Amino acid sequence: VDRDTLTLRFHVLNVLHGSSIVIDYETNSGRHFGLVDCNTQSGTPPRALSLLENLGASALSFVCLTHPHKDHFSGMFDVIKHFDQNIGIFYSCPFGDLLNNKRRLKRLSENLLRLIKLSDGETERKAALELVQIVRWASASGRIWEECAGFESRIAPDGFSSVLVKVLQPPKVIKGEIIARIDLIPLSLRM
Amino acid sequence: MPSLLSEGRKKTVDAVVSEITNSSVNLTCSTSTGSILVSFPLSLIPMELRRFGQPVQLSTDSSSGYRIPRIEARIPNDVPALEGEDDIEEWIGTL
Repeated sequence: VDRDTLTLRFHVLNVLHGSSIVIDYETNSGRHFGLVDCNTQSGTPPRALSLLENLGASALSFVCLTHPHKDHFSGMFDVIKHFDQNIGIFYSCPFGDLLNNKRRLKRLSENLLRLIKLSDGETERKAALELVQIVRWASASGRIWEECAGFESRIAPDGFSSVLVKVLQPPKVIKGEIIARIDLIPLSLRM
Repeated sequence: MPSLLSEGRKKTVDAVVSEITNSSVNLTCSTSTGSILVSFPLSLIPMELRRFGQPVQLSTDSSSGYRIPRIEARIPNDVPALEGEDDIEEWIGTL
């Protein structure tokens, strides 16, 4: 690799709350893009998508959802729909167990659907729908969905092979807490 | 001096649990002029209501002599199905 020809840019977007980062890696063999988290206000196109379009991205080497909070995935499904078959790897944390544990995948999806049906909060219902849509997309056959949790884990999406990407978060205890919440019924409507 | 809960004023406010942190629960409250986000200490929110999306109702309780917020569960208002909801329901049926 001729390191003089490499340019790695991190576009840390101002999304007011949460985070959204577009990674743009230019090499002598082409330009590669990745997205880490996404946030947008309801009804507004995500800034990440606008930026990727402005940068001329036609494919994403990866999309990464660091954790399933709405200020980290709002608008992410818009990005996924836009690039769809042209997304290399979907990384998520701490949903790795869902890759193999279909029972938990179903329970999570049912709980999110239950929230959609039993809540009347527009923002909350849309967030639940978007998360289950992302999970559905990621779990489709042929999709590459990988866990990126742990104290130290190296990931290597296509096009980024000469970049050392290490995942440091989250500590196992946090991952366990989030996984445990999947088992909870999300809404209690006892009066 | 008129009470905030005097006749003619709304006595309850509908809200939804929007965020739960280690120290607070944030409620999106629906008012006649829009919605506002209000943060409450965990101790004011019953454990069973600390669920994202939970519909709640705010009122004030002065039975102890002090006026404090009271947060209770409420029946959700009717809302239309979201676009894509049916697809998701169908997909879950295949899992």
